[in-house]
Parts: sequence; structure tokens; C-alpha cells
Amino acid sequence: MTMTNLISRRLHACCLVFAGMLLALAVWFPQSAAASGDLSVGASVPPFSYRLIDGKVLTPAALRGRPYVLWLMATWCSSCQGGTAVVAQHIAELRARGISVVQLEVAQDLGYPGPPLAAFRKAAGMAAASPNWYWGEATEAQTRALDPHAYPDLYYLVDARGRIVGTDGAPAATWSRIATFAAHP
Amino acid sequence: MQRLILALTTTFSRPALARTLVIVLVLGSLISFFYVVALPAGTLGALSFAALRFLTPWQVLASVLLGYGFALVIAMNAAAAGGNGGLRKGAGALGIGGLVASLLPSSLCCTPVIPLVLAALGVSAPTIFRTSGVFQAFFALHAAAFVSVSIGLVLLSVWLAAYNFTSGCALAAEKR
Repeated sequence: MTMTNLISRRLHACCLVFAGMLLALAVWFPQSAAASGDLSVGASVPPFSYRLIDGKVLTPAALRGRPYVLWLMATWCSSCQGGTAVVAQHIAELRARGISVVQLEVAQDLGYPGPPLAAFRKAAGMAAASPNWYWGEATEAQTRALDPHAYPDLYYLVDARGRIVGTDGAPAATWSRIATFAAHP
Repeated sequence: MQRLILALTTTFSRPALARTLVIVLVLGSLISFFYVVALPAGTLGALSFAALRFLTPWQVLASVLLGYGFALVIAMNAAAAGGNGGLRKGAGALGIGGLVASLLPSSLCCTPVIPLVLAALGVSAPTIFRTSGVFQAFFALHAAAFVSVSIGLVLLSVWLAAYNFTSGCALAAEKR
């Protein structure tokens, strides 16, 4: 076997191993986001006031007594676009069950400015104007507290008492979890 | 172009025809099907059949080109090995590189992979906050470019396989 053939075979082997690793990561990590840290289940959500893109402020008092999905996302994030499309399909159903969605752009999009949140919201269509869907921007302090590992797609399921009852990422892939929460908030 | 036509004609002729058809149809379909699920997986956020709801015509085209293109490279190499006793170098590595590169956006964007890797490397939390988005956004915003380059690599590997195939035929004839 010549040296060129040997190198070529090793290159092939490395590529295959790398491809396998990527595949494993792609399959494993979206489902593992919830288990790998963040605010733990059972903890109370910090009493933050969120700055909304329509200029209003969403206060803890306004959320008190209402279950909601607190979703932190970056506007360049592709799974957040997919997740927004799925939320748009179900927002009326969530409203009927008394569930709100608080969708917050993480501070400075984790270091890489994506499209404006307003454009992101516009892409969601008419459903984005639903009164139970709040669009806002998390401050630096809020991002650090709610998303300490800097994940670009992370949500918390918060019950009527303000306690976290579940956490995950990629709503489009994990919608069944949100649907279960909505059925029994 | 003549080399490509000659290589394709030879690959799709007896005695290699049956093997070629099996490789192209079975392997090509399997790889294409994988990419039909894998390419929109970034939008879904997981590698799952549920990603099919986000499948775009462009991704279907890309999946077909990647899958059947790579299968064609394998078929040409198999035909070359059958006729001249040796696999051709270069084309396979390029093809595999193309297949892997097309998976980068859906694997590395919008998952905890990059923040966790940075944390494992000892990068401080403030730095992760400032930089993890840069890496992930790069993959997310340039996903189409990654897939385009991947298709280019696979097509280049087809051409390279055809070039080596026809070069091999000439050398074999000279040896005789």
C-alpha cells in the first residue's frame, strides 16, 4: 500500500467518524437541552419585567396567576423560526386554554445580531398579533439569569404560581411537551 | 465532458450494469432519503421525520443531487475497480467531504453543542455569551451556502471519478 493510499484511507476513516459524531450530536442534543442545566424545574421564575417590542412592559403582576411559556431565542436561529411557525399554528388553541407565550430575543442575539425581532414577528403572520403572544427583548441581566448557558433556543413552562414545571428547546420538535402542559397547566 | 460521458457509458454497460444499478438505486435512494430528513432538521431542531413539514423544493433538489451524485461516484469506483483492479483516489474523499459539510448547519446551529464545547474548552461564561452566537449564527445564516458548496464538492467528485476512470482505462490498455 502506498503512502498516498494510506493517507487517503485514513482521511476517509476520519471523515466517516466525524460524520458519525455530527449525526450523534444532531440526534442527541436537542432533546438533552432541558436536562443540561438552566433554571431547574420547581424553581420560581425571577420576577422580571420584560420590555416588549410594541413599547409596553410586561410586568410580573400581569403574568401572575397565568401559566405561560417563556421562550428565549435568537433571531438568526433556524429552529426558532420553525418553532415560531408551530406556535403560530397553535396560538389560538393556547389562548383558549389560558396559556400565554412570552417570546424574548436574547440580549444582542448572543453576540451576532440577527434580523430585527419585528421582522421575525412579521414572518409569523397574523397569528403573531394574538393577545396571548408577547414579543420582547431580554436585557443582558435577564439573559444571563434565564439562559446561563447561552443556548439560542430555550423555553420554560411556567405554571400559574410562577414555578417552572418543564424546560426544553426547539418548540417545533418538542411541541407534544407544550401541548401536554397546555392540557394540564 | 467526453471523459464523463465515456465513464458513465462504461459504468452503465455490461458487465458493471447490474452492480451499478444496485449501487445507484439503493445507495443513492438511502442517502437522498437521509438528506430529505436531515436538511430541514435544522428548522425543526431535531433529526426526526417531523422535519419533513419544513422541507423546501431546494432541499429536495439538494438531497437528490447529494445522494445520487455520491452513489454515482461509488458506482464509478466500483466499475473502475472491476475493470482495472484499483479504486481511484480523491473522488471519494471529496464526496464524503461534501456529505459531511452539508450536515454542519443543522448539526451545529441552535443546539447546545457549541456552548457546551466552548465550556468544555474552559472558555469563560461571559466569553461564551459574546461568541457562541457568532459561530452558530454563521452556520445558520449560511446554511444554503454550505449545502451549495457540498453539492459542488459531490459534483466535482463525480467529475474526478470519471476523469480517473477514463485515465485508468488508457493506462490499462497501454500496459497490455
